[in-house]
Amino acid sequence: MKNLRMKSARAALDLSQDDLAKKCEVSRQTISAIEKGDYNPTINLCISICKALDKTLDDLFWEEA
Amino acid sequence: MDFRTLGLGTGIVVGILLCIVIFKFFNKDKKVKTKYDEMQERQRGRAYMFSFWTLVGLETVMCLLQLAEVKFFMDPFTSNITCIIIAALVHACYSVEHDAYIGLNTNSKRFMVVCIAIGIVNAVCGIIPIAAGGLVKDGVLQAPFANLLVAIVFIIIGVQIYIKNRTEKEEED
Repeated sequence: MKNLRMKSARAALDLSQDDLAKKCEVSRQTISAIEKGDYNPTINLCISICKALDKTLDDLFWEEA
Repeated sequence: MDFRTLGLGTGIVVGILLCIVIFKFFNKDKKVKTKYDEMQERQRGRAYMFSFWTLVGLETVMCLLQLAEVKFFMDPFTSNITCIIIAALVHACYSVEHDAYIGLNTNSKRFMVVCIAIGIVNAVCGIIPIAAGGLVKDGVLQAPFANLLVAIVFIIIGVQIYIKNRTEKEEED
């Protein structure tokens, strides 16, 4: 399932996938795979992404009701 | 210690030193160890699995051929090294396809240059014996075939990385 909330949060901060990847110390392809729903990140990476995007885990990764 | 053993030992030491220099050349932080993120580690684990089973399969075939005393078109050294090279190719191709071959601290352009350079060196090492007629002896492929195979492998990896980079640039963001 695509993670559109993460993509829009990134876009709202005017960050490219590469910028976010550098902040989280992962590859751009990993960020792309998470946004496309091709890869489920570990909780550590989820937290790192949330910190970089100034969001909570609920905001980005919890299933919408 | 005979001359052949000394040559082999020297070759191994020079090879290890060359690897250290090459890794320092294509890693941005000048470190020998390449860093990977969690997704890359996972994909590389799968690549190692496929590579391992490829090697097991190929070596099993080789053993069965030897047991059946079938005359094979490669000498034992060349056939074993070919199995290893094919297994390494499986690992490399799977890793490249799943974005896990180029590390976080790797300069991909420098890496491609290294691939091309290794490909050319091995191609030359393979072509010289062909010109001297030393590739095939009594209808059996000899060791220089491994050089040609390594050259082909590095060209395949280089081309695959190039195609992957091109397609990714098109679909970025």
